[in-house]
Amino acid sequence: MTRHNPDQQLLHDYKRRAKREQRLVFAWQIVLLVSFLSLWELASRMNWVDPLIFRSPADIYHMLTEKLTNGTMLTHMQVTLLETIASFLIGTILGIVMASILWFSERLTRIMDPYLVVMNAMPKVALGPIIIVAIGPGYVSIITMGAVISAVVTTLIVHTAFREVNQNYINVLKSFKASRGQIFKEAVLPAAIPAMISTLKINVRLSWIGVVVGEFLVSREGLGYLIVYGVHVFDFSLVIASLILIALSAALMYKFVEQIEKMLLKHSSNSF
Amino acid sequence: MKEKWMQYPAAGRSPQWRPVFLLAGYSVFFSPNSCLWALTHFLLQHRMNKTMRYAEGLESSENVLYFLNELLERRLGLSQGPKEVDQMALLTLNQVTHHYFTKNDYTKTLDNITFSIDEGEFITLLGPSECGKSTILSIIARIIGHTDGAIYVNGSPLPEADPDIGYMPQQDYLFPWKTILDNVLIGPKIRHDQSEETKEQAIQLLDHVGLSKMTDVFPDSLSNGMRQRAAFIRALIINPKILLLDEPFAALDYQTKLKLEDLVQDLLRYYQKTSILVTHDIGEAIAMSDRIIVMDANPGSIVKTFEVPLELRDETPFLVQRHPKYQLLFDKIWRQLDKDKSIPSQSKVVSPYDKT
Repeated sequence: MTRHNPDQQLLHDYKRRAKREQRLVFAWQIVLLVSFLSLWELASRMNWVDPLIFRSPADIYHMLTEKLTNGTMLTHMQVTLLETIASFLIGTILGIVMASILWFSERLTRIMDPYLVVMNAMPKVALGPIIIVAIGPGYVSIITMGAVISAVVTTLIVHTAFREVNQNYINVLKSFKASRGQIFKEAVLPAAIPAMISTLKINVRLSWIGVVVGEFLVSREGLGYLIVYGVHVFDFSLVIASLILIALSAALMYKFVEQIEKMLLKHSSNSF
Repeated sequence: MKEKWMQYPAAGRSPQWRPVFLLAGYSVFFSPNSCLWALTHFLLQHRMNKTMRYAEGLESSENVLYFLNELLERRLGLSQGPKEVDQMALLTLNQVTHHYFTKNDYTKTLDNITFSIDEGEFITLLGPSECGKSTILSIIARIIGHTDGAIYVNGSPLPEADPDIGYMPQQDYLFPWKTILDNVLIGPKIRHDQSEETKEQAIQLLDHVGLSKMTDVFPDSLSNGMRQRAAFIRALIINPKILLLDEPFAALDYQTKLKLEDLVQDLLRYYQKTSILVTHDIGEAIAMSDRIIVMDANPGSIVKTFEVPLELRDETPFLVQRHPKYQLLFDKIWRQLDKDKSIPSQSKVVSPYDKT
């Protein structure tokens, strides 16, 4: 049987070693989490830290289960998630469109260069109050904020990727007398897909920042609002519970984008 | 505000030239004779340099006569101005020059390139790296523009004449996100020709170069030789008037190279394609072409043209190496390319152990 094949045997051993390593890593991760939580609980109970501010894991757990079962937390979470996804999509698409426009006109690129540098260097969350005043309080201005933050970075990264496409690909198309539009469609856009996907990952983070800060500034709903509200009424278990939900959903979204990346990069990653 | 004379480069801006100018000014005012003498000297020197440089290319007494004749013609102004355009030739380059410009400087990459190629002819541009041979191909393919001179196709100048060009770069540059068949069909696609006929022709050509099973796979699962074959078909499928091969065999191992050369030569003969090959490999140049144009660098210019003897043209790239005339031509071209004009023969290294 295959077991007697020495190669198979070696492969089997290799797999077993890899699996053991994986299990060990996982065990350590659990140990770290459990010890952190129990230390926190202990510190809170023994009054090593102020229990009014830092609460205890048990408190937060009760709070989370209660709020999630009666549905109040879910509506807030839904609002924030929708806002984030919307600003992520709008920001990414807007950035790619702007990068494409810049690619089509080199002169426009040179004209826009200083403005892009300033826009990139400036912390976009500082625009928050102005956006809210201009658009009016509500989820539209929150989405706009998330979108603006990710659009500028996307424009810069994708435009750089467009410009760094291997000139020889373009030359091959030029020898067939391709128009600039055809060059863009056949060579530049597909070659820049890896860069676009890496901006997706960046944009997940940036749109979360935009949306949470937007909710801090103005809103009646959402996890960011809950954090501000919790601080105001001194309910810190609410603050920490919202924080945990934000962290978990952001991580999930990030993982989701990573899966898309793996799917799309099968044939375009090598030979660049 | 600076005064007007300050703007002149030598006088105002560079203090190291100031003594020279003072001296010059002195001689103009106080001894006009010496000034004239210096001028004459300078002109003579310039003329001598040019002549000497020209004479370096001489080999035999025959060439000396030719050189003297040309010198005379130049003196009389007979060979001034652009030459007559050869109406019979498919492609003519007439005193084509190319510069690269940067903010403060320029590099002359091509100087006065003049040659023509007839329909169905295969010529090779042979020369050291950086001699601008690939630039010539890019100019013909209209990927970049030339800065001076003119190019004619069938007697009418570019860009009005717009011939179909097949271009095969050094590395295949197949698009990694397209299958082999889609890669080959990119040229027709650009020309909005997506007919079944063209597709069938592509499949047939791919079959001819042994890639029939590879039509639906992506380039990353092909070997270098296979990829290069696909790139060749990509250039050939649009039925180009002129095929440009930019060192297409340089990145391959020796045996794959010879086999591919043979295949390419066969197909080009069959379709009677006019082709220009760029290479630095003398053997490849002899094996493939009817005419070899030897170039030199800094700036890129044509040094000499060699006709390949008829007996060699029909041989395969593998067998041609055994032909006695091959060696003769090889040595001639080697001497032309080599700065010392010599063939490396016996080793001059003396082993320290042999001393006693």
